[in-house]
Amino acid sequence: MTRRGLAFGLAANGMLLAAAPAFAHSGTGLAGGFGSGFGHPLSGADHMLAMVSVGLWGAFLGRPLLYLLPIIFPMIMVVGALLGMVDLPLPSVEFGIAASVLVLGGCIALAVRAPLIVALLLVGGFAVFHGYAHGRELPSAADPVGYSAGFVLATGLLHLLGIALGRLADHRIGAAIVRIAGGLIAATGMALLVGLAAR
Amino acid sequence: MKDGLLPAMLLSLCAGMASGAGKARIARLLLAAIGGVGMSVLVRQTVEIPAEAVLGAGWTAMLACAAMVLAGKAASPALATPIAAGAGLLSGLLAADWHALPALPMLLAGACAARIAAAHRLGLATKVVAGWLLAIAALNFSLALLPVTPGYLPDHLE
Repeated sequence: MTRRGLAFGLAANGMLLAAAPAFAHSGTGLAGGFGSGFGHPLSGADHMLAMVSVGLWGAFLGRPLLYLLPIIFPMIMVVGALLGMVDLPLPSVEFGIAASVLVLGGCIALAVRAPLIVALLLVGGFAVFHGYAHGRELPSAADPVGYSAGFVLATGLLHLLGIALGRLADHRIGAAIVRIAGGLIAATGMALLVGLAAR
Repeated sequence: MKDGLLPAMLLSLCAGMASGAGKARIARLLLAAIGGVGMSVLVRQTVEIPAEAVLGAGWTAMLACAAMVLAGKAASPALATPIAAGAGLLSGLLAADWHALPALPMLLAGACAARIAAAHRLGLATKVVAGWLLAIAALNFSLALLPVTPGYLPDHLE
């Protein structure tokens, strides 16, 4: 089997996923399907920066966290989503999400080389908050399967983007750029926290 | 349930990844899956299976396939063919008979990706994707059990 065949298969299925739904009657108030779920992690700076940070930090920490973090994060996110779906009260979800941006950005900026278990617990803990926020919307999606597939795929792709950017850290100048990016992410997290506290 | 094609596509992708990493011939896997879809036509004509049961079986199969990929177990040819046939059968039940056929290129894509990844020692990439698929399956399996799913309920015009 050739790579061309694989590329063709993936492209064909990509087109199937991207097919626009028929709007025979709209206005049911439901959140939508794949596109809606895919767009959700991309629609807010807090989610997006946290996902990219997970990949960036994983790339910085190297194996096995390089691939463990993008595997663990969506799985723990499911736990958070379940908590959200059953409406179990989770204190300060927005604070948790903003804190994830601050802490993960800070870890990149300060080049923190956390032990495996600490990194997994930290990222897993933050994944609960992100999953909770997604889970609150999931039950009201018109197409829950499409919505969940969309948001997990978008989350994973943001992790991969972070890992790709993290490869810059292999070079001296690149490492400085990555750490500066981490600092900017942490500053954004701080701004988000201040904004929430001021409400 | 609005449309069974997307679950069928996700299941086919996952089954392709689980069955394609070993030494089984990919053409045989595809034929087995098509046979499974054909079998689903017969099953639907003879037995009425509740949609919820089919969906639950589909997510369970996807969980098992994703777990197999994550565990790094390459399916033997003797196991890979039944996996592909089972994925075809469940896809046919999920997406209403031959409407499941568009899902089968996903099985092909998953099998090819797993084969290429295994040949080039890129198994971690398939594990990451399997992790995502496992998350989707776990989420939707749980969603079907929770009484909070307006998305699964018919709207006012259905």
